[in-house]
Amino acid sequence: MKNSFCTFIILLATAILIFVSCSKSFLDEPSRTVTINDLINNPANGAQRILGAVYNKFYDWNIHSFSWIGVSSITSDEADKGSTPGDGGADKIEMDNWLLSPTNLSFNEIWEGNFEGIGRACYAIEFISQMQLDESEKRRYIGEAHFLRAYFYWNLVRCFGGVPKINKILASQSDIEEASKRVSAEEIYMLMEDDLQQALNSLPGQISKSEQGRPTKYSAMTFLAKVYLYQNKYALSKTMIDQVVNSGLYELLPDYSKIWREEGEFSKESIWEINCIATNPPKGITGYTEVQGMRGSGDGDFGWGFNVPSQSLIDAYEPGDKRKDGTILVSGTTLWDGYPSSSSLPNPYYNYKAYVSKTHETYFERINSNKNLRIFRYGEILLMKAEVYNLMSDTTTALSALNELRARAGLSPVFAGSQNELTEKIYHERLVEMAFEHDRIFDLRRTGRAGAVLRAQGKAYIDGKHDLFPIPQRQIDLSGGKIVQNPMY
Amino acid sequence: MRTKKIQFPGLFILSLVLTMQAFSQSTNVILKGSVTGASNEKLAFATIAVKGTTQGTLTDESGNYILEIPIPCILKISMTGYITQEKEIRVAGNYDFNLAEDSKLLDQVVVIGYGTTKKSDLTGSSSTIKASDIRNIPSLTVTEAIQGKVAGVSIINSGAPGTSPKVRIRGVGSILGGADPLYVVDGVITTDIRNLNSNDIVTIDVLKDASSTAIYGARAANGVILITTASDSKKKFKVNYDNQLGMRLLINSVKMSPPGYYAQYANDAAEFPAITQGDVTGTTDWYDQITRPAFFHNHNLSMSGKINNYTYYFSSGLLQVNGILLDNNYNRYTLRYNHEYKLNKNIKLGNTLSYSRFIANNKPYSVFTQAYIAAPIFNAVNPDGTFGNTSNVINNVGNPYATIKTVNDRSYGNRYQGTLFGTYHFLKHLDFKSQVGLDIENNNGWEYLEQYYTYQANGIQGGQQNEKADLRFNRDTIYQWVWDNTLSFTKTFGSEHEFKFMLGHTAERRDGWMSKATITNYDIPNDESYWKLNFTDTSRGQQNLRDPIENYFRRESYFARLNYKLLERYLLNATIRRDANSNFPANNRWASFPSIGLGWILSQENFMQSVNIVDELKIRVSFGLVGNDVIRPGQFDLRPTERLFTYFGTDRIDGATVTGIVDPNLKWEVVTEYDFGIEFSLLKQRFVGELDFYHKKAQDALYTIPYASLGFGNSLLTNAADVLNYGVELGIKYRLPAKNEFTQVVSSTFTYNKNVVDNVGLGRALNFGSLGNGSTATQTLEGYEIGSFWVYRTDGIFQNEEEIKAYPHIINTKPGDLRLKDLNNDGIIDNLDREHIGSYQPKFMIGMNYAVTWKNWDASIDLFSLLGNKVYNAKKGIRFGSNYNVELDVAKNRWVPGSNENKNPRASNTTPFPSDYFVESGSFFRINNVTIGYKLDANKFWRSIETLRFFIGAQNPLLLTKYTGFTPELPGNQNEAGIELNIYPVSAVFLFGLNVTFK
Repeated sequence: MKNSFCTFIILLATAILIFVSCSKSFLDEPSRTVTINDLINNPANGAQRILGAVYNKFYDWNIHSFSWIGVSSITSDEADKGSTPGDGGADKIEMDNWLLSPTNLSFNEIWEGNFEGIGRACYAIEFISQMQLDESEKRRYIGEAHFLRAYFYWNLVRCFGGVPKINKILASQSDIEEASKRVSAEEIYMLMEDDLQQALNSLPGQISKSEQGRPTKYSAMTFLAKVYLYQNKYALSKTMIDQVVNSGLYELLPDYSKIWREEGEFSKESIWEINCIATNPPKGITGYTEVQGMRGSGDGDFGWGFNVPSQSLIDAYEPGDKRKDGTILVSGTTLWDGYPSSSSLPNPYYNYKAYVSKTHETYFERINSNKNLRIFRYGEILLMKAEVYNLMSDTTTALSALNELRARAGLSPVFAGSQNELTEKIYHERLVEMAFEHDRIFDLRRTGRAGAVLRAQGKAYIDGKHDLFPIPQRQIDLSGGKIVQNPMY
Repeated sequence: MRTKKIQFPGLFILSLVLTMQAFSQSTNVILKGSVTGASNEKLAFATIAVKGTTQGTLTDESGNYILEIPIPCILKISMTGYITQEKEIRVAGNYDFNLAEDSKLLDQVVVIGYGTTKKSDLTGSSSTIKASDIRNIPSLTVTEAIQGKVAGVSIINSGAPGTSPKVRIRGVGSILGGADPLYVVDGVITTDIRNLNSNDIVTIDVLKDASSTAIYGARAANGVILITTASDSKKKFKVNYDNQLGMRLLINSVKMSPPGYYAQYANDAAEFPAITQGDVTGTTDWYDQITRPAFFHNHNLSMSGKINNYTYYFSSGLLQVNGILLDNNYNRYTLRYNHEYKLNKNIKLGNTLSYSRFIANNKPYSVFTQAYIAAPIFNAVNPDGTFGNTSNVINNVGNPYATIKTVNDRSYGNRYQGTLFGTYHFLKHLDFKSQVGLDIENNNGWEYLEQYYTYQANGIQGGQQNEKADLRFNRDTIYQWVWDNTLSFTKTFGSEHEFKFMLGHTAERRDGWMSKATITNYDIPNDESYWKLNFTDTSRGQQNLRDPIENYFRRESYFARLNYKLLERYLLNATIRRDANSNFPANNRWASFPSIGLGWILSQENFMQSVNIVDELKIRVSFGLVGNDVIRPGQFDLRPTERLFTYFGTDRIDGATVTGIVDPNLKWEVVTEYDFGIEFSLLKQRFVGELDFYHKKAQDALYTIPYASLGFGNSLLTNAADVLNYGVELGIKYRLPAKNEFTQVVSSTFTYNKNVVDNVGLGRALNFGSLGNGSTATQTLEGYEIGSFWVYRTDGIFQNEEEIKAYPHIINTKPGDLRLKDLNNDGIIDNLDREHIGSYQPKFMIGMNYAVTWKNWDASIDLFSLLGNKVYNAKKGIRFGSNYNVELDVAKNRWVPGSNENKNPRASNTTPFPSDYFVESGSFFRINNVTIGYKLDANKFWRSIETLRFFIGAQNPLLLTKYTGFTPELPGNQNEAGIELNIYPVSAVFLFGLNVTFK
């Protein structure tokens, strides 16, 4: 007995010794999740995954949903807050009435959402550069990442003016502290132009069905045309517009109202849009259509009813303008899919472009709808063409572009007055053509009309202050005060 | 005063000699009887001797004795661990003796890390709770029952069934590294003790200072709670049955506005007639609707005994607790088998094995908030049995009753926890122990959201609905093992130098996987047999995920302890532990944690012998380093975030990228701790106490330094803060002189703790404490307590427009709104005007117990009080303008034009700013437990019954507090505790119980 126990002790001691001698490796816990190297070393799907993560940002609540709807639409004259009078959606009453404070949550979300996108794009550029990939494929992927980065900056620079300039991976806290300062808006525009030039040079002109959602060379050109336009670089803008038009790839959809329906997805008019899918597993822009859906009850409950057409928008349509019916959902009418909307809704009008049919379109659930967000379309190219040609004194070309849009809308052509009169007409056409396409407020500011237009509607717009939105107080605090506020806030 | 410990075989011989000597006397009588202990258990091998002689005997294994003695004489009855009794004997007969337990402070055997020792030999601060002290308190975990009973330990309970209380030893020592103490159950290290049946526990030892805890090195910073379950039995055979039956009732409910007050308030707030007469289609008190008196019962049956060299303990338990929230319940079944076998005089083998299973029906606690804001003007259930619609244009709140009834959220799990050990005594002074501990957990849960609709009173379908069913299923499998080996050397050199040296090694691993399967929006029948999913099926759009558990690790450590005692009065204890944890980068993986403690037992000194009032007196001082290594794996290297899905065309891509930055040099938090203590026992052991002063400083505490969001996360987890805790603890116990069969004991604990964050990275505060309305109310920042409330100061109410114009104010301010102070006088009300006005951490904690026995009766009462803490009544501030209901007091006392009300603001739908209007005192005084018991002399009619006791009791029957919400007892993360939002209200329990022991 005793002997056997002694044997046991000896064995145990041996076991401990073996364990101790092996303990160096015992403590090395292998990683359970994917590592960066796993991605970089498997370029076949690693590149897609890293790039996919950048696109994924488009679906997030903090970039294209409630906050963006507030910032880019409810603020403008085309829309009212909507919903029920009491429901402020936390900060949307402030947005509607221009009582903006730096602590407003939406601005912070827009800041964070877009910078997250920028970070992901920087990672994609850096990591994909390190991958062993076919050169042309690699160039295209990196080009896409540059395009996407420019898009995120585009949203930021239009909202806040100059923001911190991030064009590489920030790897440590000191990197971040160093980058936590605003550069001028011009510097951001320069970065965007570089990014878009790079995209333009490396993206294909056309993509296959299985690539829908990715930008093409012409998406980059359209984007660049608009970026030049915002900087009043008309000649540069014109070259881009001409190339898009002359590519012959794009034309107007005959029926305006179908642009924003499922059947209008990736149509001939589409230059770039966010690809949303509502078959299980769904991936839509979180809450985009729900936030704007009719606030009814029971079967008639499509959402929260925010961001509704304003009376001034309704009044802006000329008699017979087909775009009105494609943009304004009138409560109590039968909708295009045969659905009889309720007449007892809290608001008389809703955003028709955000309506998803439960019966005639792919429908899975409210929060993840199939509604593609149309970012660039041929209609806008024509608007820009009209504007740029007019400013460069080619009124004829300008008019023909404008009248192409009017013809589709079922309206008679306009004729030239003065250059200024035509400019006004083009501005007006922009309002009715692009209502609820997240453009209006930025367009008003670009053209210096925001104060006059909004004050006429009783909004507390202050020139010099409200031409930019407030930098989120939270970001100022987090930077230790290195990020500074816009004037007058 | 010390009772000498005698080895059993020696005692046998001694007793034989004694008995033989007794026979030689002449005028002798025969005495018979038994000796019993505190809970009437029979005491085997108690010494019964004639005072002043060598005559005497020992009780047998069932506690009985027969003895022949000369009369008259004085009989002395003694046993280790019990107070010696004397009795004058004049006539022969039956004499039973009942010995009181000797609570002699310094002689208690206490459990320490990897061993036991005598309390007198300790140089550190630790407290022992005996199972008998908490046996009658119904609780899921033992920690609930010891609230107020241990100085320096803060325990905050939740009223929700199946949840653990928050336990903090000597303050909150960490900001982000985890502040829970380490639990060691029979040597198995764990963080969750919900699987333990309180009745199986023999002792709970709370180790508080570094001298006691440093043997647990890197995991000891928050204190250690050692739990020992039943094992060796002194008696041959014993069966115990205990039960408790009771009722749990919601007390201290907040009164909400009835329809009339509600409509007035809502209309004034909306500034238009938001609610008209026609909108009122019912009357519902939502709290009444969703709560109930809840029944619970608890049964425990145990069997223990000793057969030759084999001791065993077997138990089974059943606990069924209903929550006061409708349909919410938690059931637990436990089994335990502990045994020990002495192979020979040197070798002992044994195990502790336990199994527990829980089955719970969970309900979302957010319904308490829903019930708070839901309009009282709708029906919960329509006359036709359908759910009433509450969520419409008027009141954007779901029907809480429908929520409860349509969420089917169940969880169940099995846990196996046990140890196998062997000890070997060899070469006279050496002891070797090897122990393997295992902890295997398997938790499952499923949630089925059924298809349902709600209807307005007019039959129109409401907005709250679930068109298609959702089903979620999850399974976590976790296993953990630990292997400890210790070698100790014990020897006394001469008679002055007592040495004990221990050397040990331990290795530990925790691992496991969590699997999840989800089907959304699919027609799944409302029938339990369809609610199981396997984790590979992908039909019906099923999504399957498998992830590692959050806290897997591998650890390895070496440790050593030296106990040296000189002349029975000078003590030196030193420990060191060297620890490694796989969750730290290889370059920072190993760290050492030493401690040293010195003690001086003054009462052993000659100069103290003349001080009669003092029985024992010890002073001690200790210093040590302990660590906090509660950190998730992979925090030091950049890991991509996966499942960032995107679609190209119809192809789904699983996007993956990096979304933050990491500190590649992450390391342990290190706590430097000093302790000075005095232990005393006065007045013939009647008054005992322990006083401690401590100072703990956590350095390199984990902190997420926040930075601007530039696309690379918004904070960096690094070692960048210091946290200081210092305080005083006092525990005293006074046993009143017994008189007329009355015994009375008063004990009390008193704790003062001061917490302060000493230094944080780049001086940037962390904001926590979401109020559910977009703003936050707490901040952790240098110079303040962790989780301090950070709010605007208010200065009454704006009475009119002129006042508003004359004073800085926030946009949209109207008469009747709170006037927020412009503290920095810059004319703008912004974050710079917010102030830190205290936290949920109490300054003082007081616990008191009074126990009395009289003949067969016993009674005890526990009192508990927290003082100096603040509570944020966040329920009052969740308004999004959807005509939420308000408290009746708020509706009644609100400002209206001309009222001059200067405290309660006007009716408003604006989301309020976090201000001191919502911060209230969280101090309270409470009767924690009251018990009255009666012991029946049942063995007179049934010999097998040793004891039979009935008792009635109440838990939390009385709460005194100024707080106007539901409960000031609000467990939560240290950075945001004390915010009453989605809180399960604390309830009172009234119960009946029974303890019976069979022999």
